[in-house]
This record gives sequence, structure tokens and C-alpha cells, in this order.
Amino acid sequence: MSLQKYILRRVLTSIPVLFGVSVVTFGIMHAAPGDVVSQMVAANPNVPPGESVRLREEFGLNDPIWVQYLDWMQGIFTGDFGEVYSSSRSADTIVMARLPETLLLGAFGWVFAILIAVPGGIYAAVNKDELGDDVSRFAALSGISIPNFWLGLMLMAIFAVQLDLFPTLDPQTGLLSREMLWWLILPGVTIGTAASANMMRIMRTSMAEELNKEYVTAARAKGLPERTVILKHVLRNSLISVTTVAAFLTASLVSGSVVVEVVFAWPGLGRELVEAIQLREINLLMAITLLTGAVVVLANLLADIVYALLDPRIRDEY
Amino acid sequence: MALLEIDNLTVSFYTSEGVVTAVDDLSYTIDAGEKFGVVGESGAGKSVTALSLLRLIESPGEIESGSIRFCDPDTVEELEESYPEHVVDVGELRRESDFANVIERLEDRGVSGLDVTGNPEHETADLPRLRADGELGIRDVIDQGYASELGLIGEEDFIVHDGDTSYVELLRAPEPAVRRLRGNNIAMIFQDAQTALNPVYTVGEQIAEAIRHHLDYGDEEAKQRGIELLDTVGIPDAENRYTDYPHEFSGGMQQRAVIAMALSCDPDVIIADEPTTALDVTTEAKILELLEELTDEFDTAVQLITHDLGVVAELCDRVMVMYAGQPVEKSPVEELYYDPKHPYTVGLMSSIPRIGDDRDRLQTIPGTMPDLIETPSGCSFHPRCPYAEEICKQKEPRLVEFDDVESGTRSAKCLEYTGDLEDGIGYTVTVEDDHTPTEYVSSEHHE
Ligand code: SF4
Repeated sequence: MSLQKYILRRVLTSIPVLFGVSVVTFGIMHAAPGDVVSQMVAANPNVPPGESVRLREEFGLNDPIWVQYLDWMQGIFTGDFGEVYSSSRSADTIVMARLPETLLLGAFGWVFAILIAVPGGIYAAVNKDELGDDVSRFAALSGISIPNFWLGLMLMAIFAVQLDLFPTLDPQTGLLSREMLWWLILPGVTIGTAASANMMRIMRTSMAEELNKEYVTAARAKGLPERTVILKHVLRNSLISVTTVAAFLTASLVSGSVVVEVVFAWPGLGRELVEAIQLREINLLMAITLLTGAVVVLANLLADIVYALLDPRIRDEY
Repeated sequence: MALLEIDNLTVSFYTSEGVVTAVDDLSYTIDAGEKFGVVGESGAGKSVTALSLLRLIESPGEIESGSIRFCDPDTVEELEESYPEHVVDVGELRRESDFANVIERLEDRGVSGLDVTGNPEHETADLPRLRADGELGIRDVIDQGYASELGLIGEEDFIVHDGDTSYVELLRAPEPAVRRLRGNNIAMIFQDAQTALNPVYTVGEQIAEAIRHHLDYGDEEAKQRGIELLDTVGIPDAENRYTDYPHEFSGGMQQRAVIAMALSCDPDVIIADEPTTALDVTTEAKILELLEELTDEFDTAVQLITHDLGVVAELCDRVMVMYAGQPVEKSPVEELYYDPKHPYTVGLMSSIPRIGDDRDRLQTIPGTMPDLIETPSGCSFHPRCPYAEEICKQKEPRLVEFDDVESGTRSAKCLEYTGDLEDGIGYTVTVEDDHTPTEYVSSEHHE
């Protein structure tokens, strides 16, 4: 099977997954007490009593749940993600407006994670059981155990408030402006830390394992410099298992972004998601969930492709 | 001087259970173009010996002491140009140093004759005597590593010049210098080609990288040479197979590719570590044939490591039998087969499989190799030796040389040859040549 066919198959199999995600999310939202109207009323005590009945009728909230779901589904197929009731805007407009910010944050976190994890893991594996390895293992363990929000608050308290190196508020400039990128650093580091720590551990383990293999001795026996042995022969083999984990970590990066965006007031989808849950804005919530699911599926697909690029044996299996 | 001289090599592994002396005071030489076999069961220290030659022993292993001298004039000359500050001129030392004083200082350190000449017969000899007999010279002091201890030469002086001979002391050479020899002058064929090949690079690339590195070839030239090598080792359609990955090769082809890799820089010596154990019998025969043919063609010396005396018979000129990290018998191959001197060798010989004989090979010598943390006292083979006597538990035999051999020297490490055994060793060797069995009876009784 060619790689193209494989990709097509993966895309098709992701459809039922996304469908499942949508059903579960939809169900949970409905099972939770209260709805968008009750939240609107709670926020605005001046709403006349009859109004909430009218609104529920208008939004179709009195229909049986499966009818509501089918309505929503019908919208999806026509590219309509539904309305955000409290602001009368369409869900996809909001998502599209916030998406770049979140992508930028995620991408920064990713790059940060890889830049730390890969060299760190290589260093730790090559100096296994020495001081540098211990230090990096301690760092990795800390990175994994420290909660996101705490790390974010600490970074903000130290670097933004105390040292005044970074802004604490949205500079309100264009997405790729210097100010914005500068502001991005703290939340980006926060979100990348856990992923980086996880990846570094995997990198170390898999590299240490590869270093024991005979092809390494064989490469050394050829008289190649140690740098070539490590960075050419061992690295590529070690990256194979790191790739698998990296894809898996995308999901945690996505969920991490929710907390980080709230802590740093980063104007992305994560913050929007929290708001959607609070206001029971089901359409917005569904749109964000679907998108997130699609991103995770895509990340796995990317990982598979990278996997195939790294390892010729996998390539043959497609 | 031989191409490769190994002297008193000792390699230990510091494991959590204790110190394992995998190679214990091992000495041997390999001449240019010679095929030298190293035989023994697994755990005898054969592979450790091989990796020591490339100085690739990894932690927790350590080369404790000894000397590995490599003597290829061109290579030594090249290294000399790169490391002019690390050259020792023995002639100059001889003229300028006070050798009597050196000997005195050696004696003060409790260095024995064996330590400094590597000859077991000098175990108890005193040093001035050896010197007077011309058995001990300043070269020995350098070779055995005492010269830098005594401050005669620098710690890192690894290129030694003595008149017309010159050599490199591998154990003192800096890492980059050793790296220049690896793959280039001393190449290795690994036991299992499948694990020795990196699965994520093409076979061709893995051959070409050494060529580019050592011979300074460009990409295209290296590729051309790689393809030629694959063709030489008998890979059909080499041009296309060059870009194949290891998993696309069969086991036999993988081993051929590994041989091509070892030959790629036209080395002076190839260390083949059980090159055929992973293969079936037919392929094994073909690979051995190929190895013999190519090393003859390129005049490459071979150190063939195996547990199979049959393989040695096919390929080698001389053989060293190892047991528990030590040589127990060294001999030209012919003599070894007609007249094995050591009981362990006899045991190994009766375990050569013959067609129609499906006995388990290693069963024929009862027992297993001792664990090397606590090697048995006296002769380390005594728990398994059918001729063991009380004395064997107490006295460690030394390698005794036999001078009565026509081709080269022989030696064996058994108390029989120092006259310590009461009953002697008795066994019968049956040699079947052209289906006419002749019997050879070895030292039935010790007079
Ligand atoms: S010394 Fe004794 S135990 Fe060792 S090989 Fe000879 S007879 Fe056997």
C-alpha cells in the first residue's frame, strides 16, 4: 500500500472517531445542569420571566436531545456551526478568529519542547548515570510533576511582575508583531515544559537503549567520529519512539493550552472554551471540540508519516 | 616484527557481582596476511579480545594492562606525521639511559621476568640475569608499559621507533589516532550481520561512509567503490541493491554486505567474530569460502574467532585455544589436529560435528565454563578436565613451549608439560584421511 492510500485510509477512519467525540460532548453538555438560557438569565436579572421560555423555544432547546443533535449535525454538513446565542455571532467566526492565537501558542510550545527535549535527551543518554544525566532526570521529573497553572503563575510572578521582562497584558498588536511574540514566550514555555520533560525522558531511554545495540559498536569499529555515531546512527533510531510519544503528547498540549490561556489571558481557543462551558454555549463548545479532535488526529497522522520517513521497515508495510 | 602483537593483555569488567577478568594475561601475534584462529566456548573471552584490539571495550569493562602493538610501516609513518611529539626513538633511549639503573628500579617495584618479557619461562628469572642473556632489553620495558611509569618516555608517547622497525602502541594512543586505524587498518566483521547493520540506513551508505571518512572519497567515488565491493562479495545486481535497506537483504547477503564493509578501506587485518554462527550450514560454507578468497586476494590478515574447530581447520594457519580468558594452547593448525596437547583442545575436537552425528556439540565436554569472578584455583580447567589430579587444584600451569615442531612454535598450558602430573594425560586421536584411519596415540603415560 502506498503512503497516499494509507493517509486516505487514516483520514477516513478518523471520521467515526470525531463522530464519537461529538456525541459524547453533546451528551455531557446536556446532562450538565442548566442551559444557555438559564446562564443568560442568571447574568441578567432584568429578563422578564416569560422571556426565557420564548428563548428556549427559539433556540430549539425544548426538542428531544436527538433532534437537537441531528439539527446540529445537519448544520455541520452545510458548513454552519451554529450560533453563539449570547453574542448572536456564529460559532465558526469566533473559532476562526481565535484559532491563529492558539496555533501560535501550541507551535511555540512544540518547538520549545523539541528544542529542549532532543538535545537534553541525547546529552543525558550519552552521559548516562553521570552528573549531567542526574540533573536532566531531575529536571524532567520536575517538569512532569509541576502543574501547568502553578508554573505559569510562577513564571509570570518572577519574570513579568518582579523582573518586568515580559508584559502581563495583551499588547493588542498584530499576531506576528514583535510585542505579541515577546508576550508569547512565557505562556509558550509554560505549555511546552511538561511535553518537553516527557519527551526528554523518552528520548533518553530510547537513546540509551539504542546505544547498547551492536550497530553502534559496528559504526564505531568503522572509525567514525563519535559525533557521527551519535547524531547520525543513533539519533535517527531513537527518534522513532520519540515520534510516537510526540503525537500522543499533542493531546496534552491541547488540554494544557486551556489552563495556560486562562492564566496568561492569552486570547485563544482555550479561553473561549472555558467561557463556552460556563455559558453553556453548546455550539461554540462543539466547534472547538471537533477542531481539537481533528488536530489530534492530524498530529497522529503526521507522526505516522514522520515514522515512515525515519524507518524504512515501516515504509514497506504501508 | 609481526603485524599485530598482543602482550599480557588483561581486560576486566567491574560488575555488581564482582570483578570479571574476561581476558587474563593474554599474548599472541598475528603476521601480515596470516589467518589466525581464536577458539573457545562462549565466555572464553574471545569477543572481548577482539574489541580490545579496536579499543572498543566499554564501561564497565576496562583494559587493565598489556600492550597491543600494530606495525604497518605506512600507517606508522602517517601517524608519525600527525603526532611528531609522541614519537619515541628507542636507539636514542638505549644510548642515553642507564639501563642497569632501570633494571634496579624495576626490581624495586617487584616486577618479575614474566612481567617484563612476557615469556612464562622467565617467571622466576632475575632481571640482571635476563639482561645478561640478552633476553631483556629496553624495548621490552617499553612494550610492557613500564617505560612511561619509570619516566623514560612520556605518558602519551605511542609511536615507537627502533632502527628499521616502528610500531604504534594502541593502548597508549590518543582516541583520534585509534579512530584512524579502526575500519581503516583494523576492521571487524560482527557475529550477527542483522544487528550489526543499522536498520535505517541503506546498505550502500553504510559501506560508503567509511570510504568517505578514511579514504577521503567524494560521494560519487565512494558510491562507485561501494557498488564494486558489493559485487566483489557476490551480491547480484549490486548497482540496484546498493540502495536497499538491510531488511531487504537475506541473512547471507547481510553477512556479505558486512564483509564488504570490513573490506571497504582495504584493511591490514580483519577481525571476524563468529562470522557465520547466525547462518545455515550451506551459507556458512559459502561465506567462509568468500572470506578466505578475498583475504587471500587482498593479502589481509584475519583473526577468526569461533567456537568451532572445524571452521578453523578450513581457514586458518595458526590457532589459539582459549579457556576462561587465557590461552591454553597455541599451535599451527595442522599440528593441533594431529596432536592436540591440551585436554581442553581434545574436548573441543571431539565436539566437532560430523555429518550424521547429531550429538549436542558442547555436551561432550562435561560442565560449563567457570564464572570468571571466581576462577577455579590452580588450572582453571580442572573441574572439567578428565585427567585432573590433586596438583591441578593447587598449581597454576604455565604455557610451555615445544621446540620440536617444524612449522612455527607450539605451546600448551597443562601441568603435564612441566612434569607435575602423576599419571599423565592419555587420549587417542583418530585422524581419518581419505577414509583410511590412522591412529595416533598421545603421551599415554608420563615417565
Ligand atoms: S593441568 Fe591438570 S586440570 Fe589442567 S589441563 Fe592439565 S591435567 Fe587437566
